[in-house]
Amino acid sequence: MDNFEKHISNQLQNDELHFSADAAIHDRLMYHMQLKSSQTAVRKNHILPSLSFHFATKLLAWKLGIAAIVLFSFMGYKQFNQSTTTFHLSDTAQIINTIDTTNFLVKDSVLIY
Amino acid sequence: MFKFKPPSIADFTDEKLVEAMINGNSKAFDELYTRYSDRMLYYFYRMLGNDRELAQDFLQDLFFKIIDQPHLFDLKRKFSTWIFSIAHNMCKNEYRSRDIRNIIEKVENTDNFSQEETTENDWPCQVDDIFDCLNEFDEMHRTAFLLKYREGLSIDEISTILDLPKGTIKSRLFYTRKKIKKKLRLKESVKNQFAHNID
Repeated sequence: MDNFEKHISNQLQNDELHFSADAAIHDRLMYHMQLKSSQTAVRKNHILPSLSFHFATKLLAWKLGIAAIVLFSFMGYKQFNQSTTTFHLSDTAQIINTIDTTNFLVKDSVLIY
Repeated sequence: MFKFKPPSIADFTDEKLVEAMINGNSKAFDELYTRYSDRMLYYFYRMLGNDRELAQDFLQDLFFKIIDQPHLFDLKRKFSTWIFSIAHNMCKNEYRSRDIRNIIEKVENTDNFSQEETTENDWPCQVDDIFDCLNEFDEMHRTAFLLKYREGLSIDEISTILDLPKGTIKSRLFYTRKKIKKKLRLKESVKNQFAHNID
């Protein structure tokens, strides 16, 4: 940037308008925005912000710390430390099913002793 | 003790604010308006021949467009580039739909009016001189000049906004600068001559 460019840049950047945006414009825009936002379905979904917070990289150290504490506390839990494993198996290959029909009473039959 | 503080909307980037706006967050829009309203008002005021009312109308229309179609914004791009390209297209349409000569006449009238106000507000005369020269250029030259020297945008960003190659932007800026420099020098020499004659 040469001197002339710097001069122009300074002049323009220091230039200010002697008026500002009309407050009524802001009000109208906000009203329009609120009407529009009431139609947005996603707005009703409040789980997304919390989910995105959990998976975001922000406050990562804190999140890792908490996860480590939880992990260490579960390491002492005895049900997770099963050293032996027992398998319960049943072998049905040699079982013979026998039905004793001696005392069965069939309809229209006579019991003779 | 650690206390969780939810992120303030003022800390959000422009792009994040648009994302929140798409999800119906009106506070995000409010923040965007606060950040950009003055910049865009200045842009419209200077681009539309120092017409205050027209600048206000354009400002409103611009933000209405943003509210109605925020999904058109590509979240990978910069918001400032997007908003200035919408503003530039609005000005371009305005120039097309109106008779440029009528506008220039209006500009001259409003310029006289604003100069009276400027003296009250102690505006530096140099800025008016620059804009006097700048008003002689077409809207492309004017936009490129304003974006570069007022907004401080890079050539890349200006080329995206105006949808022109970088080389064209550079040459337009160079040409505009050269012509303004020449005119300002001429003005200065006339002023000096006039002062010398009085002495």
